[in-house]
Amino acid sequence: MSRDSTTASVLYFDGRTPIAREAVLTADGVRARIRGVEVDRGYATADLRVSPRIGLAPRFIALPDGGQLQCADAALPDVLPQDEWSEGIVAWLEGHRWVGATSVVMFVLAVSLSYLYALPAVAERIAQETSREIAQRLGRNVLDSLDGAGYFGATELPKSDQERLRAGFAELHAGLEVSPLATLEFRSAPSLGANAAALPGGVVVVTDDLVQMSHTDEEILAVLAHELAHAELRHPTISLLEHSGLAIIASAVAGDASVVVVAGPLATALLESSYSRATESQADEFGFDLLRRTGRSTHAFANIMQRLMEDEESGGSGLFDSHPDMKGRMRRARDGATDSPASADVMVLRDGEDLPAAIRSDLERQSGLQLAEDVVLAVSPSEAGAPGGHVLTVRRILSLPATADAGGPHILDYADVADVRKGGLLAEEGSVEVVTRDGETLRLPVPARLGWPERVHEEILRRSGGISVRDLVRKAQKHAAAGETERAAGILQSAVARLNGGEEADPARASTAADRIVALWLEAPVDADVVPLVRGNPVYPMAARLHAAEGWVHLRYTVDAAGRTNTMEVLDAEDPQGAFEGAAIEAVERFRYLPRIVDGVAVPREDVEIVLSFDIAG
Amino acid sequence: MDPPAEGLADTRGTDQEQAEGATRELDLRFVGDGREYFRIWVVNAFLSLVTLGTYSAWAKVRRKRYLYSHTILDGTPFQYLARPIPILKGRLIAVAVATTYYLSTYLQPGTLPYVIAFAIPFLPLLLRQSLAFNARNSAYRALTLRFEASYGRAACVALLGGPGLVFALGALTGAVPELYLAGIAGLSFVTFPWWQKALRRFVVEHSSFGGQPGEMRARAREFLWIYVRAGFVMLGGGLVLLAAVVPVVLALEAATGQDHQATIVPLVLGYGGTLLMIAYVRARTANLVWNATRLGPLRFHSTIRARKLMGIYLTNAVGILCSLGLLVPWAEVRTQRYRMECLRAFLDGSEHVFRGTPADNVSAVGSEVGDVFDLDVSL
Repeated sequence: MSRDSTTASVLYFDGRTPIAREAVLTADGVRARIRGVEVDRGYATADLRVSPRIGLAPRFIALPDGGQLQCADAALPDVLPQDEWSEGIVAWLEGHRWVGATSVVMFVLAVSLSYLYALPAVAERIAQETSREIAQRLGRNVLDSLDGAGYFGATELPKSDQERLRAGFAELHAGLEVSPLATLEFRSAPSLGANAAALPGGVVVVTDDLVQMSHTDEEILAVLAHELAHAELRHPTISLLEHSGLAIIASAVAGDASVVVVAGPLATALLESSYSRATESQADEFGFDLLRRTGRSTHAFANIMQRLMEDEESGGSGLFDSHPDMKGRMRRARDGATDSPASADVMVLRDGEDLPAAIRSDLERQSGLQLAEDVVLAVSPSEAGAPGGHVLTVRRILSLPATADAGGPHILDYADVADVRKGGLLAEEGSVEVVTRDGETLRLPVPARLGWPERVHEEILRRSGGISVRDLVRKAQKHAAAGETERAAGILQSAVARLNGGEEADPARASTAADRIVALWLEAPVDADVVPLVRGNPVYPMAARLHAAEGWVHLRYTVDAAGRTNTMEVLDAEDPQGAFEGAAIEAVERFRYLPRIVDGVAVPREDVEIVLSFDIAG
Repeated sequence: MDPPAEGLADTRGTDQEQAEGATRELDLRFVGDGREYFRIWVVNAFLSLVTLGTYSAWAKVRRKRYLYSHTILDGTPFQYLARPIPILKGRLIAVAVATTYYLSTYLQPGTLPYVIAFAIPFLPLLLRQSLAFNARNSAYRALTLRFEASYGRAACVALLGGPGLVFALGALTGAVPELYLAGIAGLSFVTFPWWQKALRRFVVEHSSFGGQPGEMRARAREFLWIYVRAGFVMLGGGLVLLAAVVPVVLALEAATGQDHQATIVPLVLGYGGTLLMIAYVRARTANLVWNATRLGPLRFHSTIRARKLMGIYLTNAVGILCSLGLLVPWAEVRTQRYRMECLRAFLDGSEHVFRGTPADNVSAVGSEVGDVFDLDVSL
């Protein structure tokens, strides 16, 4: 051998039996020689092939005649021709620390970037290339399978509701790319609760529960606008592609699917939710645009979100597992509204929730008040020409005109509320009437759909302190009908007191209050005898007082059908100065009664008697 | 597939030292190191990622080479000889199949049975070719393993039970009333243990090394027992996991104020329980099959403890999730090491009975491109 030959001890395998024989390999640039106990062979160095380096494992040298050498020494084999040059490069890379470190960093970066950007970008690209017709076929198939699997049942929504919503839906998607294919499907889905979803290809499904939960068509249409946004932006298709892509990337990275099969689904499920936040924002914005474009308010969107949130908290299933940031979305909906509550639909806010700044300044401008308190409800029908917005704050009711000629804003403290009731419920229209202590009536038209007037009524009732005057009157009527006149009178006293704000009865106010109560009494007459309502004390005549005179007057009078007294007659009296009679009559003239009701009709009641006594002490 | 169990060898010293008929234990060990493997793995994973998975075939070769060459029997490591191209071919086919299946499911559900019916005859072929490929590229001391099976036998195993049967049933959807299909699918579920045995037997008994064929004598009843117990493991394991996770979930809820129960609980029960069940089945099946396998004078004894393997799988899964996948190489090495630790090889007789033909020689393995039908669709 020449001087620059290398030597290594090896194990020799003859290629026919798996028997190892120790030997020594000597090789230089030209020849290689293997010598051992039973071995003596020579080869041209160029004919030897060494296996790629892998870690620190022993390497194998393939001999041209089928034999093999196992060589522990890592250096020697590098002298010989490599078996697989591509692997040689990779092995070189693997061998260097900095490559490994860089790879780790690049790996993490690559995974994060592809997840955050590449995957969505690719999915979007592919989705764009997919025709909407194909996507629709996909969507229909999904719907059919959901129908077949029993998640969806036939809708129970009345046809008229469906027609109305379809018309609104058509208005919303007019002019969009997805418009020719957009279809609205109603389904009953008790297991899914209130929900709406966009399937690929413009198929939008909405559940009966969601429609029931909404209070106006506007709210459903707001949700549909959002779903149409998803459909137009191809989100369902993209999402489908992303999820599949994720699985593929995971397998490619791990290289060995058996490892991923275990961890993969778990990871995908956990990662799934975060995908939706960005797409939801996008859909929100697009949906708001659709609403504004068709002259609808985005407040409705916030309202229905509020309702869904409340429903979710009370245990309803929701759209919520992948719908984070509800408060933020609602705020954006309200901030993005180009209208104030004056032309908005019902805005539902919770105590303590901030009114969007634009709306607050609007309200303050219109009412001339500094709104330091929280808004509870902002209510308004959306028909043009109807009186404008009504806002219930924590302490006040604000009735704000939509137009200048509708009269100035009314501002009413709850303390001034004497009575509140729901007005007529004709078809879509409803109202709440608030009666002030001064006897004025404030009418707030409220969308009647599914009980909104009820809600406003309750809210005002609650904030103005409980039982309304009407309720008191009805109670009194019950007692009166049962003959318990005194009890009825007592209740009516508190009714009057309520109307007077609990203060000393001011005759003028008392009269107004009495009118109101009589009106209530006659509103729903119950057969009963007269019930005293207001019986003020007579004024002690000055003359009698000076003389410290005392006495009494026995009067008989009639209570007419309006509850007022007339045809008074003095039956008897003890009246030294003759002043008491006059004073007594004056007093009785101001008496107010609830008239007698016979067969539902108010009739005069004759022969009512009373003895008024005048005592110095009393 | 695990590194081959075949191969036996004589250690240092001459063959004359071995008396005929004596039993000798052969040293079997796995010497892979997590850190070393990680370096290899991460570079390959990164390359796979940037080539959108094309490099993954090369990565697989590297991975298998590492695992094989760090598994040492009687002082000589095993060898994995495969070229990447056939593996790439296999993967491309898998991708094409998956895509076709996917598209037909979503777009034209009606055609699905036809697509499946078309694919069915290829299943046994895929099975056989993959097994043959893996065998031919697994070598020990210059001799490769061999796998030979007829199409008919492969079809019996691939289609008459297990997933293959369910797949075949898919082709009949619409043509045959669903009740029958459900019945047969249910039957295949119940007869899964028998099918497992048939599959293992198929693999072992059609393999050979140095002219010596494999034998597997496990009874179906033993497989059944494993699966019955596995069901309980899944339930019990899931509940145990739940008990461990619930306090964490409650703490999480208290901290963030959100209700996670609905998502986390079924996740833990479902996936956790399944994972434990898989580990249990693998442990027990490995023991059963190894203990019943013979390759000429070579036999094995496996003592994998199911509980330990379940623990390993569980901690691996958690580690992988928490590390975004970076702990995969450690997990693999750990699993492999434990399995090898529990496996012992015995030589009942002489290694001289192994005699290879020229076709068995490592040099006979195909060139870079491989034969047209050379492909590997195994995981």
